[in-house]
Amino acid sequence: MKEKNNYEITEIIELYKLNDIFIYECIEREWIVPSNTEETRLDQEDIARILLIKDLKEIFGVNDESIPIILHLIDQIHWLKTRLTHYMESIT
Amino acid sequence: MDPYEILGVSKNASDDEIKKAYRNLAKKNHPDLNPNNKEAEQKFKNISVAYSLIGTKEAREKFEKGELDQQAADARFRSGPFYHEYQDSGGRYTNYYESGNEDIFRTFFSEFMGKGRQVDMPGQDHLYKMEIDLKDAVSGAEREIMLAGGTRLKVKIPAGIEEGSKLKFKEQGGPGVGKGKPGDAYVEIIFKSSKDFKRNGSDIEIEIPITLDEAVNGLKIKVPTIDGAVLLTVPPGANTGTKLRIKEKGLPRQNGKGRGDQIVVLKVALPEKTDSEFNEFIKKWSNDHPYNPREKSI
Repeated sequence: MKEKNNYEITEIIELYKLNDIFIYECIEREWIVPSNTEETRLDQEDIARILLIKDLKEIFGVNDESIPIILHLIDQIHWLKTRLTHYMESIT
Repeated sequence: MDPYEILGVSKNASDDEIKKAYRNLAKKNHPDLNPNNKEAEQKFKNISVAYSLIGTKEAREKFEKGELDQQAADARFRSGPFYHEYQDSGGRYTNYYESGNEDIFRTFFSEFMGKGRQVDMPGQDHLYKMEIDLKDAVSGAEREIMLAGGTRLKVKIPAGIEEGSKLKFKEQGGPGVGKGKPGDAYVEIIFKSSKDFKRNGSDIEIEIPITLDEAVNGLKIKVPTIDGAVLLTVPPGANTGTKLRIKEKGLPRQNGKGRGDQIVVLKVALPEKTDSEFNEFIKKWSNDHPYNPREKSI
């Protein structure tokens, strides 16, 4: 069996000591967009993003209004980095 | 571990001072601000453990009394996964951003390479993972996933699909630049683990408890399979570990020919509570028919 990729929300609460209200808030506000549309299962990318949001709120003191802006900027940087790498590979 | 030393505070520091010190250090060493910096990651982990030991009044009191040690803290602290690990080489959320923003890239390169010069580049392929039940692998199913960009995609899973198969959806990946075609989307199939059914190649194993009477005298019993329950004949004289095979109730074979089998492993279960009648009967029978099941192993 391959490495587990998807987790039930109840498993995530137990494994990462997160509270369910916070997880559902992340989904409601579309800070995370689970690829699984039928069940309440999240993958490792969703979990990493939730933990980043938690750190932004608890360590960095970011308020809820600023979370989507920061996430957007982070995604933009990752996208540019990935795209540049892809571009460099295609011209060399 | 001395959490006070790690956080750089005195033993008399107030709760607020501890929190402030933790936040300052965590901000500086957060792995998403220091991607691929192992030293910062380790420092962040140590800071997190230290804070979980003395970060709240309750935890601090327990730590001072010696009731909360590093082992307990290790179980509670934040150790990952970290976001950059999944996005550095183009994760789902990075791809999500991509939709509708390709123009930025085109503008950027047009400026970079000279005005009016056409930049053509194919879009990136996107990979999604989908977990499915063993039953769906055998019978086929239709599922839906959310693509980067928010569109929903219906995924038809063909009957008999193998684990690790990648279903291709043409031009459903990232958009291309200029005349470049969009990339493709791939959905990789992963089988969900099941507590009842264990996989062994294309065979499926399941443990079924039987009573002493069923083991000794045999019987027909109902056994679950991924296709539903079937009747199985337990032959007289079955024992714990006896394996019975139900043909073609396993998973599709790798070579595409038919299905594996379901292996039923029997486990003799004594009654949860026994009475004196049972105990005396067994004792009498054992005295009359002594045998040593460990004879060969000693």
